[in-house]
Amino acid sequence: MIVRFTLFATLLALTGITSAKADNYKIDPAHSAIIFKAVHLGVGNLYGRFDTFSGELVLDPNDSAKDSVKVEITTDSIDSNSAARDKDLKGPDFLNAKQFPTATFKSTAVKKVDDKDYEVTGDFTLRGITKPVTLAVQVIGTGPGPRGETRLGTESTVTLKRSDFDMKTFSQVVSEDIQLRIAVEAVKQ
Amino acid sequence: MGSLIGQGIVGIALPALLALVLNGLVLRSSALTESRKWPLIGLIVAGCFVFSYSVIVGGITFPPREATHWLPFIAVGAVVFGSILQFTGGIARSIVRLIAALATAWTVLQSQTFGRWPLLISVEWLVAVTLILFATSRLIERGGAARGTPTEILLGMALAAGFGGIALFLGGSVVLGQICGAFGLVLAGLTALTFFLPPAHLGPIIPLIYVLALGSLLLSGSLFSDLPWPTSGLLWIAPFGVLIGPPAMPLGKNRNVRLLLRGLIVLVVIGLALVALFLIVQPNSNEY
Repeated sequence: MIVRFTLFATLLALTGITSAKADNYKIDPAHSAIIFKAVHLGVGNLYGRFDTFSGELVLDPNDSAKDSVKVEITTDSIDSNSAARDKDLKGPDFLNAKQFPTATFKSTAVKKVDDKDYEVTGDFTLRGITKPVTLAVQVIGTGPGPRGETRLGTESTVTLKRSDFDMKTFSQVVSEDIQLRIAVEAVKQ
Repeated sequence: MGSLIGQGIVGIALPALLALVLNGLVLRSSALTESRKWPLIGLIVAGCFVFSYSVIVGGITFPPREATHWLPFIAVGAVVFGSILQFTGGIARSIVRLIAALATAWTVLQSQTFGRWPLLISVEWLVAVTLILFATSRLIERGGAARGTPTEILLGMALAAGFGGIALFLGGSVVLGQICGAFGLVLAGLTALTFFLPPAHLGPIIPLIYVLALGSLLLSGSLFSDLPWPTSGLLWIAPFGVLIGPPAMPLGKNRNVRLLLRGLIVLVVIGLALVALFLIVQPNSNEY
């Protein structure tokens, strides 16, 4: 009986190891930022940010192909350090935040480049238009937080063409390429 | 920035000038009867609207996904529906007008109300906007017909659309503001032409283009941008300022004085609309 029980327990433990659950991480907005950069009039870089966003990362320690990333940005939370410009950016000329309150990124493939760098391909949806994009993701670090929780930090960049998302106006003033930088700290759940 | 000014010239001034010349040729033409002139003028006005939209927005999106993508299609549709109105009568005329009003209300409201607001409220909005568009186009058409010439009502429409452009610009959408401003200039040109080449009546086409195009612009401004509803409402009723008082005499100095006075009434209502805008949203200069 004892032998049988020991065998069963060992099998159970082995099963648990081989099907080790993927780690779920939730983005901590207080320690994260989503910033964008546009070239203004061809003479200077203009930076802005989105204040409200959420997202989660699923990391499989055994198979990076099973990793996934999901980010949701509230378009109405855009802040470019000018209330008048923000009003225009939120309006129908640019983000049309009332009709399209969120922009989303959902990964479709994660490719490990080296220990720190990943290429995350996925669908980016803005203004109701979905385009495939590839984020260059760098893992900044991982470790314990002040409450003993596990934290993971990454920084990703991607360059979007605004005309791909039906934002064609003011091409003389605002650059076609918009660089998006997503720096997140995520907490293991 | 120079090219931005260039875009303003191509997107606003050029269509206005083009409409002035082409409408002038049509109004002067003796080969065309009055009933044939208005569909042509309607096509010119809608064509210039579409051209202006295309230059300012950077192209026409097909199929349309957003309310503002429908604007060029609404302008062309208004010419089609207006032409049908011109050659129909009785109950068929009301049905055609109702279909045009309902289709326009639906294209602007469907993305913002249905699925987001409770169904009953969405339906109420659809019915209310449809009825407003229906009644306004009918009132303007009748108002124009009741006057000696259509100049008065055209003046009211041109002023409302032109200042509507300024209100939309300040209310958070430079693009909608420019399109509306261009539309106002096209109508202003037509108003000036009818002053010197007075046609006998206005017909249903121009009022329908005005009502459906400006209605869509103002609705889009209030739904998707920061244009306050009181401003939209006051701009909407402004053209009716020219209908106050008895019809003006078709010719003579007295007519010009009355026209000026009625234009001033329209300007007072538009002034109130802009005051409401400044009180509610306190617009800053647009900064890019």
